[in-house]
Order: sequence, then C-alpha cells, then structure tokens
Amino acid sequence: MLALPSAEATQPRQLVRTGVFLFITSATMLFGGLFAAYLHLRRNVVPWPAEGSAIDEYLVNMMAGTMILSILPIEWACWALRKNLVRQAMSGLGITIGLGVAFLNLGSYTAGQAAFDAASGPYGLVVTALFMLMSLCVAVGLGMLTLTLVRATGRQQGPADTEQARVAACWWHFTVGASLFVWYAITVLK
Amino acid sequence: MLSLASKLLVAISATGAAMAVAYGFAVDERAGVILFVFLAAAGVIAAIALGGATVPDFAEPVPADAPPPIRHATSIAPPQRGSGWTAAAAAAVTLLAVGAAVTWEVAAVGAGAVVIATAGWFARVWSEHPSWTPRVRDRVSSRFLVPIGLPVASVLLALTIAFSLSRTLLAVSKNGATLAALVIGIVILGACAWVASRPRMASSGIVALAALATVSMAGMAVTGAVAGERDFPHEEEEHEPIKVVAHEVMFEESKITVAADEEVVIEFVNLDDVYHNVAVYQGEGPESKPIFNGEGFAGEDERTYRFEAPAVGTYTFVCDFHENMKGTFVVEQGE
Amino acid sequence: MTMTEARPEAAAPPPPPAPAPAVATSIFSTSDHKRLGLAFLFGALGFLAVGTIVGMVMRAELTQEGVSLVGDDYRRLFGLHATVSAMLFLSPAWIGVATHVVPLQIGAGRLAFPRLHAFALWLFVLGGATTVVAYLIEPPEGFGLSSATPMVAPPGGANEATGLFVAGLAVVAVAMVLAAVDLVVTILKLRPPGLTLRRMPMFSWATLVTSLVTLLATPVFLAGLMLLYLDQRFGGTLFSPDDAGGQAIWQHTLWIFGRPEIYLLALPGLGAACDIVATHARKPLISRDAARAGLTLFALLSFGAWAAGRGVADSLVLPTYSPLTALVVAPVGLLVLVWLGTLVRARLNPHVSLLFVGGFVLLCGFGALQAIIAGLVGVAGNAWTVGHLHTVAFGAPTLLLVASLYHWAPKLFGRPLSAGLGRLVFLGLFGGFLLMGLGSYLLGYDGAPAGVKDFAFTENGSTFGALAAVGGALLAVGILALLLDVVRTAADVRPSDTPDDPYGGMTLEWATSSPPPPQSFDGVPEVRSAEPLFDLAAADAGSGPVSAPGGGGSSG
Repeated sequence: MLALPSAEATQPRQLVRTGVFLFITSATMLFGGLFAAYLHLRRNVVPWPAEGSAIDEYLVNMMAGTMILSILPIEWACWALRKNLVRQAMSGLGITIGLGVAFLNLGSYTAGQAAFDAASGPYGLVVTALFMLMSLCVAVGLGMLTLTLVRATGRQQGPADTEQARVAACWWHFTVGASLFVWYAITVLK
Repeated sequence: MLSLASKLLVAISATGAAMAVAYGFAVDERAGVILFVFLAAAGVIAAIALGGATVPDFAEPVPADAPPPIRHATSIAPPQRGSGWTAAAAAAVTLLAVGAAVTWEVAAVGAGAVVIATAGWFARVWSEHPSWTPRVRDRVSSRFLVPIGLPVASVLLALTIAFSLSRTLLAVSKNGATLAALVIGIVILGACAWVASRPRMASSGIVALAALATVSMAGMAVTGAVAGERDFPHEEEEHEPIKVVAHEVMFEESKITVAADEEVVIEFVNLDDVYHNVAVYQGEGPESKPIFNGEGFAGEDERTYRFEAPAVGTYTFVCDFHENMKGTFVVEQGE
Repeated sequence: MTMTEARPEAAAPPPPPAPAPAVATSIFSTSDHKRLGLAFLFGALGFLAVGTIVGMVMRAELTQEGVSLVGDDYRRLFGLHATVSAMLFLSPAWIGVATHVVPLQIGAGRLAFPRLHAFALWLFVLGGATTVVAYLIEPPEGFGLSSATPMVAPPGGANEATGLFVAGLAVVAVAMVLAAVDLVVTILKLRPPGLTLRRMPMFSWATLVTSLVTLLATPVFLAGLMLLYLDQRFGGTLFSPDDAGGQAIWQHTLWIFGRPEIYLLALPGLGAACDIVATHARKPLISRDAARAGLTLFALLSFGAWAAGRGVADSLVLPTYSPLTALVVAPVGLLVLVWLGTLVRARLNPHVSLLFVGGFVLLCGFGALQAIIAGLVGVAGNAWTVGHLHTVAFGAPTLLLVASLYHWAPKLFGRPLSAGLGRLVFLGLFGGFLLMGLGSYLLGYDGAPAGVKDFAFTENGSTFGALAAVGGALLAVGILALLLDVVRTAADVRPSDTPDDPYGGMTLEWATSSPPPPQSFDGVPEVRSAEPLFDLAAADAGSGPVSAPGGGGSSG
C-alpha cells in the first residue's frame, strides 16, 4: 500500500442542509402544481366556490394562526440548543410539536365540518388536495421535530452540532409559509 | 459570488419567468402562467440555497514551479454503512400508497409500518453518533426497548397477522378458507420446527425468514383486501330483490319502494351497450346529496347493488350517465 | 525523486481516514454507490424486458388484421407498454449509470446520502412493480396517462387497479426526486479541491442539470397524480371529458413534467456521448464550454415546448410550441459539431460505443427529417407519433444508454462487454428502431390511427405494418443480445485482469481499478485541469514514476 499524502481533509459540511433545501424546492413545485390547478379552476368554473361549499373561515384562520405561532418556539429551540440549554430546547420543540398536532386536529375537524368533499366537484377536489398536501408536509415536519427532540434529549444535538435542528426548522418554516399560501387561497382569494 | 450551480438555477428561473410572460400573452391561461411563476420562484430558492458551496468553485492557481501532480488519499469521509431499514422503509411507504388505493385498513397498516421503519432507521442513525457507547445501548435497551418496545411490537405483530390472515380467509371460498388455514398452520409449524431443530442459526437467516414472512403477509393482506370478501348468505332473504331494467336509455320502472332500516337489494339489468347505473339522491337529482352510487357498467349485463335504506322519505333514483333517466325512490316505514 | 525521500521534509500529514470496511453486505443494506447503481440499472433493464415482451405481443396483434391474439386486453397492454417504457426504463437506467459513474468521475467515491439513495432504489422497484401488478389485476379505467383526457372516474370511484396504478407511479416519481436530490448534493459538495464545476466531465455536468430539472418538474406530475387519485378514488368529476377545466389541468400536469422528461431521457446520454467521444478520440473536446452550453440549453429548452401536441382534441397549443420544439436542433447540433470536431485528426480508438453514438446522430437526423415532412404534409397525432416516439424520444436515447454501458463496462461490470455481441446489439437496436420508426411513420402518412387494435389497413398499410413488425423483431433481438451480454458479464465472478485505464482516458474514473475496490478509490490524483489523468501521465513521463503508471491505485 503506497503511503499516500492526504489532501486537506475537506469534511463536507452542510450536506443535509443542502439536501433539505433542494427537497423544499421540489415541495414548492408540488404546491405550485396544486395552486395552478386551484387558480385555473377558480377562473373557469362557475360558481366558485361551488354552491354550498362554504368553509368555516374562523377555523381556517385559527389554523393559520396556529402555524404562525409555531415559528417562535422552533426558533427558540434552535437558539437554546446553540446555548446548550437542553431543557429549553426540549420545551421549544415540544411546543412546536404540540402546535403542529393541534393544526392537524383542527384540520381534520374543519374537513369533517365542511359541507363538501373530494367527490362534490372541482372545488371540493382541489381544496381537499391542498389540505391533504398541507397535512402531509406538517406530518413530515412533526416527524423531523420528534427525531430532533429525541436527539436533543440524548445530547446528540447541542452547541457542537445543531444540523438536525436547523434542518427541521427550515422544513417547518417552509410548511408555515405553505400553509399561509393555502390560507390565502382559500379565505382571501376564495 | 454565485457558484456555477446557482447561475444555472438562475438561468432556469429566468427561463421560467420568460415563459410565464410569453405564455401569459400568447395563451392567457392561468394554470400555465402560475406553474412557470412557481418554476421561477423555486429556481430562485434553489439558487440561494446552493449559493454558498463549500467546495470552492474556482481553482487555486497552481504556481509554475509546483511539484508534479500526485495521488492523494481520498479526502472525503467514507460513507456510513448501509442499513436494511431503508428497504423496509421503502416497502412501508409503498404499502401505505397501495393502501390509499385499495382500502384504509391496508393504509393504516402501511402507516404503522412507516412509523416502525422510521424508528428503526433513526435508531440506526442514533447508534452511529460518537456519543453512543455500549453502556448507553444497554441503558436504552433495558429501560425502553424491552419494557415498552417488546410488548407493543408483539401486540402489533399479532394484530398484523390477524388482519392479513383474515383478509385472505375472507376472500376465498368457504372450503378454500378451511384449506388455507390448515396450510398456513402447517407452514408456520414446519418453519418454527425447522428453526428450533438447528443448533445455531445465523442472524441473517433469521432476518431473511422474518422478511419472507412479512412480505408474504403483506402480499396476502393486499391481495385479500383487493379481492374483497366473498358473498356471505344474508339472514333476511325474504324480501325479493328489486329488479330495475335499463333499456333504450330509459328505466323501465318509474318508482321503487323499500322499507326503512333494511338493506336494499337492487338487481339492475342493463340491456343497452352504453354505461348505466342506479344512483339514489336526496333531492331532485344529482346536484343534491348522494345516498348511493352504483357501479356503472355497460350492457348487456346485470349487477346487484346492496346498500342501507336511508330514512323514511322520498328520494330520486337516476342514472349518473344520462340525465333523462329518473324515477322516484320511496322509503316507507317498515313493519 | 521518490516519495520516501520527500517524506522527512514534509510535515507529518494527518493519517488518511480509514476506508470503509470491505465487508460484503447484502443488496438490502449496502451503501456502496456502485452496487446501488447496478441495482437501479438492473431494475430498469428488468422493466425493459417486461415492456419489450408486451410491445412484441402488441405488434404481433397489430400486424394481423382482424386476428385477435389478446382480445380486449389490447388496451391494457398498450397502457402497460407505454407506462413501463416511459417511466420505468430510461430514467432509472440513467440514474443507475450516474449513481455508479458520477462519484467515480468526480473523485468522491461515495454518494452524499447513500441510505437515501437505497431508499429511492427500493421505492422505484416496489412502486414500479405495483404499477405493473395493477395492469395485471385489471386494466385501469381509461386510456392511461398518455391521453390528454385522462381516466374518467365513474361515479362512486374507479376500480382498485386504477388506484394502484396511480399509487405506483407516485411512488416511482418520489423515488426519482430523492435520487436526483442525492446526485445534486453529491456533485456539488463532494468534489475534491481543484475539480471545479467547469473542470467536471460532461457526463457529470449533464447529470447535475438533469437532476435539477427532475426535481423541479416531477413534483408537478405528483400534484396531478394527487388530483387524479382523489378524482378516481372518490368519484369526482374533475377529469371527465366534459370538464374543460380538468382537461386543461391534466394537460399542464402531464406536459410540464412530460416534456422535460422526454428531454431528460436524452440529456445524460448527450453528456455521456461527450465523454465517450473525447475518451476514444484520446483528446479533450475541442470546446468544453460549447459542450456545456449545449447541454444547458437543451435542458432549458425542455421547459420551453409547453403544451400538448397538435392533433389532440381541444388541447392547449402554445403558438410557440413548434418553433420551440424545432429549436432543440440547436443544442443537439452544437454537440454533434463538437463531437465531429473532436474526432477530426484524432488517434481514434475504434470502440463499439462510438457506433452507438453514431447511430444516435443518424436516428435523430432521421426523426428531424420526418418532423419536417410531417409539418409540410400536415400529419400528427396518429401512428406517426408512435414512429416519432420510437425513434427520437426513446430510440435515440436508448442507443446512448447502451453506448454508456459499453464504454463504462470495465467499471460497471469489471470487464468489457463483448465487442462482437455489441455489434449485433447495435444492428438489432439501430435497425429495429429505424425500421419500426419508418414503418410507423409511413403508416402515419397513410392515415392509420394509433393505439387501435384492428383497423382497416389500406393497400400499403399492411406492408408498412409488416415493416414495423420486422423492426420490432429486430429490436427484440437487439435487446435480448444486450441483456445476455450484460448479465453474462456481470455474473462473471472471476477476478478481472482488465487494466485500470483500458482506453487511455483522461478523467478520474479511469484512475481506479476495474472494477473499483469497495471504497472506490485508493488514491485520487490531484486535479489541476479537466484532464487530470493526462497531467498525471505527463508528470510521470517527465520526472519518473511517482506512482505506478496506469495500474497504480489498486489494492493488493
């Protein structure tokens, strides 16, 4: 075996972060596809929203508010991890997870209360699709947050390594942004 | 300073934006414009994300008197070892997708499998962290895996076995179900006896056997769920099935009367070669709330529809494919 | 000057990181990019076999007027053949080759996320199997994705096979996106210092661009699939023929994904052809910038031809559709010029992979000619399209894929593929695509529809149909020979005595043994230009061997 000199050990950094950003780009296009469908149908299908398809705006506003609120605790958690305040980080992550679960719960209640469903026509179909995708993104985000919480508890995330927490935060912020877009489409644009 | 990759993405963004404008002017159609706008936005996000590549995109200038190039040892850390959890996770996700297409029970099993596979994968990643020592492993095992994980896993396993076998046995005929149960029992007994008879068994062998068993169960569950249950004789057969005939794009019956709180059985005969079905709606027609939509089919053929009669009242039955085919569907108080 | 003399003066370098243990792991738990790449490749070839068999049955059916070999299942087979060939063969095959070759070409020797890649591999295999199984259970309702009017859901929901079909495709689409993400991060983050993106080999650059477009375009397809799934499962009415809004949405979904996808089937091949030509011409491309520009322009144009094709009723046709499609001649032409310029005055190594590259150029030219004729004559949307698909959309890129297999066989399989069989494969594939294309084109000019089992042949129609059938048979022979050669070579477990660098190449994949060791590289040459091996060889020639030339780097 030749005694080879080694080059400067360039440990690749931020692999996961770059990967998640690219995945966020893909998810943006996924939402884009559904939005394009929504906006296209909105212009071409009369009446819009369909008859009897009123959605309870109060509930949808609550859902949006929940997501906006969740920005703070996740950032707090990331800050706390950098400062090695594990208890605070766990609290922050826990609150974010709780808000996410609340969002899903409220979403399922809203869907149950809605007077339309996937079969009731184009409006129902595309709104159902948007809700489904939202919930899927939130579910993935909850999974990432849970794993981060477990790692923080196990001291695998801390001042030396906050990669997983940052990645989960990035995905969560994307989810919040997407949910605001959906909220805008459903309540403001109608 | 933008890396070349970022510049590439900016080019894609610019193309998207240009296409959005061009498309908007040329065709003026929403969906396409929005898609291109999103393409431009996504390109910008990616460009920003890739803007700071850690590997410098410009080459260090090599001085003329530099020594000739030689081989270096690879400077990049070797990859983590692979894990079987990746294949398991892929199987779980596929099962979830299949379940979404077939029945919700399979989807629920799939969702559970996804959770398990994610946990397993994460456990693997966790165990590769530098802070993982054998002492930590023992602690986790004794405090968590054995007291909680083992019972939960056993219960889940039992439920899954019950579900898979039940789907299969319900789908085959009565005698077939007896035979299948016997065969499955013999196979399980034989496999366990074989494993027990061997003095040592490599873990890979056990894993292979477990994987085979899991795949078989999943396959049985899905096949059984797709095939559906066999027909079971119903107790109340005293009501004659209602016969409805569609001929020359018309129903031959104009009124159907059934009793409330009972199962409605409609024998639908389609004498045309176009698609017909029987569907019941609350109000005047298909714009109102649907009670039941029968599977559409082309004639000449006949199908039997079964559904629960709705509350007492007057409804409409229609053909979903042809507006003119309508009749009254009355639900009366039963005896 | 030997290395041992230089040692004492230099500061003690940090010990190199230990290579990954060379433990044989099973295919289910490997993180070795080479095995993952081969798995993708073999999965794709497996689906190719399925699609080919189905295609042959269909062609036999079509040839005999009035004969019903398969009865009502023809529609089912049409959909199966289309789906398998479109989504389950070329894209995953390129991902497989890229997974194997790109980490070697960029000197990384590993993927960024090997486990994610393994996850993507199994998603592809299982999702593809689900789609095929869906067809075997029952034909999914409707005419399949290729129709501009997608499946119409009967009220109450479609049959389960349709849902399975959609679910399988969705899983495969997710797999493609994940693999693309991994390849992009690998290329961007794991290059050794000195290997800038500008110095990267063309196949790696093409893979980068392809993966970026994939992860931008595929999600829109997923969105459409989601809507289709909801529509089918719950009996909505969005995608019915009466609903123009739904039609438009589906067309957009299909085309913002489908049009780039068609281009992306060829793009990695174009990059591979650049590397193939340069390697066998034994000199660098005459203009790397032009080649890179051509590849990039090709990718950008993939977003440009934006609409369903002419001839589809009520389709959205952007007035710029034809000019933008025609514009693709520019980058491809540029690349062909670069290749020709490189081949001029080169000490050519006549390798069978060059045959396939030449075949690609000829098929593309043939297809372009037909496109011009069709434009003049005014034919579209019938059997002509079948011909065009089989020559330009699938035939030409397939030739490039086979070229890559023959070129990189020493790395992929450890030893070269048989040159003799290679020529047979070329005859079969090129001749097959050409004849089948010609037959279908002529049928199209004759007015024959596509996708219909029996139709009244005109006088010439049966001749053209027979021509296409002969083409199909040739194609089958070629594919069979290819599969035979690949399987035979891959299964050969004897130690290989193939040299590291059988062609005298210039890029980093030739700096390791054939096949590469489990850790892919024992030592990576320092990169100071786009031809690191040429620099290394020049250094060896100039100052005496620093490391053993050519055969160095292989472990004992």
